[in-house]
Amino acid sequence: MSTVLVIAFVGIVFIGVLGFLGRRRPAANLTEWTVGGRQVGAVTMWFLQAGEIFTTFTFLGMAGLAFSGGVAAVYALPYVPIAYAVLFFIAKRLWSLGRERGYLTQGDYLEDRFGSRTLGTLSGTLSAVLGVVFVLPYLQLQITGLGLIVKLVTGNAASSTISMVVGFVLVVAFVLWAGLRGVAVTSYFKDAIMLVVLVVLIVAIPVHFSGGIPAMFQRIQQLHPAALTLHAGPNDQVWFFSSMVVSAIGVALMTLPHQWAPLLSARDPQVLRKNYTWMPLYGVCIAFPMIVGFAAILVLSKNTSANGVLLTLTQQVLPPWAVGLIVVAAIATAMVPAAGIMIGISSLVARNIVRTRSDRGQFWVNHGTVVVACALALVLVARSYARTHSPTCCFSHIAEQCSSLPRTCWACCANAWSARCRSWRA
Amino acid sequence: MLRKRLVGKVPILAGLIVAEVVVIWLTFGKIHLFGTWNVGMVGLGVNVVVVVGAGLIERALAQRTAATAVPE
Repeated sequence: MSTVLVIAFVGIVFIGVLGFLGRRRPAANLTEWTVGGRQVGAVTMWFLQAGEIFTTFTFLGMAGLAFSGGVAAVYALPYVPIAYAVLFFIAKRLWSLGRERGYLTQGDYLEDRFGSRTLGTLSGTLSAVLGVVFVLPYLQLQITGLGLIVKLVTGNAASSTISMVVGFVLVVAFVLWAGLRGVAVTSYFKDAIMLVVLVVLIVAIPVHFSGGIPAMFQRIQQLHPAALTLHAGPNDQVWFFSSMVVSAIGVALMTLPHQWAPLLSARDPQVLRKNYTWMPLYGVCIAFPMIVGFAAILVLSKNTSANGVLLTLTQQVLPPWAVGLIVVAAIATAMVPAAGIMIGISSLVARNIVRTRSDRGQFWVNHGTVVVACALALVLVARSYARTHSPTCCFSHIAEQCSSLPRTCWACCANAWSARCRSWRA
Repeated sequence: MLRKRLVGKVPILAGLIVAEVVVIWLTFGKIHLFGTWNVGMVGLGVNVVVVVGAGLIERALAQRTAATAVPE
């Protein structure tokens, strides 16, 4: 067994164990489990919301998009600050409503605010079903990402399968035990290791191949000038603009189900406002994997799989133990967001689709959904694996596809706000 | 937020459903009618058109009802 594989498995188990440390006893009710009893402070909130920004898509997908689409990848930089500027103003109201009316999901909000019991229930259920159906591939993406990471660095399909199963059984276990608090504890680790790893990579890779970041961009300008401009093709100006606007609307209007649990878990609205003030600064780190992607333009052939460019360059530059740490960081960006997504999916099913009357019943439906959702995502991964004989995926494409529907749904629901403006002002 | 209620509940729900159907059709049918436009943006455009259209119909129906109502 190689050094990288050993470190990767130790990392998977370590992340799982950290998740269990989020809580001494299992949560007794759904409010405690889903939104941490609405007592989450500023530091934990920072890591929970940062977890939404830095996923496998950001870590591997952004490097891949910069490699294949050049400067078009920069679309991911402005939408988070734009969205957080909007959320700075509306999050306080959403939080207050959530606390007063007991919301745990976006479906709860829609049902309550639609101003009609029948239409409210219909829109709540509809948004919940769409949320579950179209966020499930996002969960599948995280599992596939984990398998792909292990396969890229070991070249071994069996290790990839084992790591996917072990990793996600551990995620299910700690999510069932600790809920949102488990996600919070693992987020501390994920963000710490990821930042260290990205800083090392944006120094080591450009220095190794081009003598530094400025020299690297000068060479790209000489050899591949098209990579530094938006040009005709799949990632043209229209794609850039529309993807940025839709992503900004999506985040600003809380379209993704797993955005709600962190927001509703805040101890007070000031915690959220502090986060929305400073988080855009942290969002600049999204540029780090892009720099690695630009370095890859000079080094790798055009036929290289875009998803694997970050890990491929890492293997060429760093010793095996350091590659192992980078793999652990990449695995963390798959496991931790997956845990948050599971909470989003299961609470939607328990609160807005199945609708059991007793709190206990709702709690068990929720926990059953965590297991079923993960099993279903694993089956989807296995099916795609059977078709392609390798856990292939295109992070940027899948992320865009699976998030466009709930995002549209919520952009539409923004209009519902005008229908409720009187009570809103009151 | 807005001081006046611009549209009712039915136009909003209609806009939501129609936009979702369009996005589902474009996504799963792998239809590229709109080039490199993000599908979500297309859905949002359809949503706005349906909400405005249905809102105008709703307003016209309300005016007709008010006009035909016999004062007591």
